[in-house]
Amino acid sequence: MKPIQPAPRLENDIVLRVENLYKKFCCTLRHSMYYGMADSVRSVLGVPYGTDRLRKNEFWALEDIGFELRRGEALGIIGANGSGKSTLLRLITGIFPPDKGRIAFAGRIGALIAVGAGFHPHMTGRENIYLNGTILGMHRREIDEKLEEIIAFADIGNFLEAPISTYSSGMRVRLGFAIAVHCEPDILLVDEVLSVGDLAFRNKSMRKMRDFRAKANALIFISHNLDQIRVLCDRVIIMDHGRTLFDGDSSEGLIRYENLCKDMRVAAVNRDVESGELFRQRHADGDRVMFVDLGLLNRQGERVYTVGAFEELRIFIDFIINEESEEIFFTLAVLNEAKNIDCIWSKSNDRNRHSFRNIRPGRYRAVVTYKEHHLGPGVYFINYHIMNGATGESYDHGFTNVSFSVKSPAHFERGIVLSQDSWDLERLVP
Amino acid sequence: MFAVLRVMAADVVRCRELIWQLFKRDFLMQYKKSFLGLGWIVLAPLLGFASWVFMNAAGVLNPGTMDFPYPAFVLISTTLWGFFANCVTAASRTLKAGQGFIDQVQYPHHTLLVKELAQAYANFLISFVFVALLLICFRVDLQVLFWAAPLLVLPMLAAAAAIGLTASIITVVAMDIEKALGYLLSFMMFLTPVVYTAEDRTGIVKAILALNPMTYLHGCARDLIVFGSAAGADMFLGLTLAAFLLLLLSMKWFYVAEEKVIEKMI
Repeated sequence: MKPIQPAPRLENDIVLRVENLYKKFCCTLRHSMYYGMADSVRSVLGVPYGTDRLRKNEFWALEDIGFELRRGEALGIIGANGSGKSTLLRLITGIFPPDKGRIAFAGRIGALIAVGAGFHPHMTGRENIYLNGTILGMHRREIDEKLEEIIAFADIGNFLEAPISTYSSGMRVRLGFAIAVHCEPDILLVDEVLSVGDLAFRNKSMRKMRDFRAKANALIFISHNLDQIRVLCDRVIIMDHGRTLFDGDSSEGLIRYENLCKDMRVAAVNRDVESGELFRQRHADGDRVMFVDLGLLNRQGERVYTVGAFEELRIFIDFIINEESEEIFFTLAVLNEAKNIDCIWSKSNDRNRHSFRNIRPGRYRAVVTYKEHHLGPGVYFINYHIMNGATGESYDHGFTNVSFSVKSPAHFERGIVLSQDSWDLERLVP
Repeated sequence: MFAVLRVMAADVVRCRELIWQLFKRDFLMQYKKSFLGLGWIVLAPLLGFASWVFMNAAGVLNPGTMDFPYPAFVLISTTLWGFFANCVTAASRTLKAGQGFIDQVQYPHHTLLVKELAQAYANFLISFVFVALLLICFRVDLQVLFWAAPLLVLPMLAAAAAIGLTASIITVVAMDIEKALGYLLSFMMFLTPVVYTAEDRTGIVKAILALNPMTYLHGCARDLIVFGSAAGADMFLGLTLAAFLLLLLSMKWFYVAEEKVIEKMI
């Protein structure tokens, strides 16, 4: 932001206030060129131009964003790619101007958007510390004072006097990160850079972040790593298509976000299904038995795409029989999308309990019900196999795109199986 | 207008360490991976100079009459033109020079103009010292004003910065100007009496030379350096004022417009 603009005053412990923030971008290069030229000429001539309306091929990258950040607070910003998180950070830092709205802050803002900004490969590690530190807003004296600390934190050993072109990529990001975290601004904006380096360095970085907070500085933290958000942030903003979906307590926000991601994934997959891409793979032998549809049902028999943790899970399969069949044998498999593991393999020809014999032509629906499923939070695909139980002939076998999601329980869970558990801690050796 | 310029000047002072660090990075590192190193700063104009001397000796070129050795004349003249062209190119790179971090760190982007121009000026000073040594070695009679060359080139620097700064904004939005600038500078060199003198020209050439501001900004500076006097000194002074005014206007345009185009760099 241009320094000649007056900054609004902030109350005592508020360090950042974002008010009704809007930012638009253009999605075609030609229009972007035209608008860029036109806007720059208009701004020089003092001719107002419509920053508050969208022109052809423009879209809102940020729409009506507003929040406040208090001293000592750590705010996590989460959202899918393209939801506007990094754009918001760039606006707060002043890299981009807003089209509408205001940003006011107290103190010095530092941004950790990408580590090693401006590094020159032929300069030594030491020279790059001064270069990068200056780019990040530090003065030479400040760098002199923190030099040993930066070198120790980066842990690049004897490579300090070597050109950084000889560094491994890990060493380079460690050095970049070490410089950036030693800027110690009043408000630190971190965009997805805490995943650099090996485990020891990541732990060291997390400790540094906690120290930073302990000094009553404010932190805005963008990450797809929800564990890091959980540890560092007490408040979370969920962004979606440039808008704020949620602003509140981080434990509640993270569960909401996980469920949102799963719903979005299921919606995307089911859009594929609706547009005709039902199968990833299918093997059918003629039309004696034809698959029609499958999916999830709720207790009322309505089709659903989401089921809660530990709830009843009902999967149906619709099919048409054109020739009388001696015995129908079919299986339904539930596959965890992320881990590519079969989680449930439902065999319907358990003859002791269920058998489907002498089936006459017609359209049928089979439903398998799990009274209390133990699937972990995630997205699942359903596969099927319809066979002749008497002869073992395969009628129809499909790997489908039909999917559903299991919502996260109230507490955070990982893995593919949910269980009701309890923990005890016992001291074995004093 | 003056409020903007005051802010820009304050930014330059505030960011002097950044300017120095970036200058050091780009100036000292530009030839680091090269056997000749900074020798390229003098070698490049020398190669150009050699080609003009060869063309003159071959009778291809008609530089006009002068009481000064042609090789020395063309060496000084092309060095000055090279400085102008370098300044235009350098200023046009103002935003692109920070491309690696411009979308990651907030800093006043006009500080990059200072860094770019300082780099071009430092290159010129090295070339100038080399040219001076060469001319002294060959016992060329140098005027007192020869030593004022670092000051006499400043109007050219102002004009080049104004052109380049304006181009730097447009270049971010559309690359055409960057491509066109290279061709335009080569073309302008022939429309300017760089390797020949303006005297003895007639007809359309004379008219074009008279209308071309570079005839005065470059030609007068060169004539003062080479001969100790120049025709059209009043035009030189007028255009010097115009060049600095243009620079102020382009700085204002840059300051206001750059934030509208910065997001196009990504």
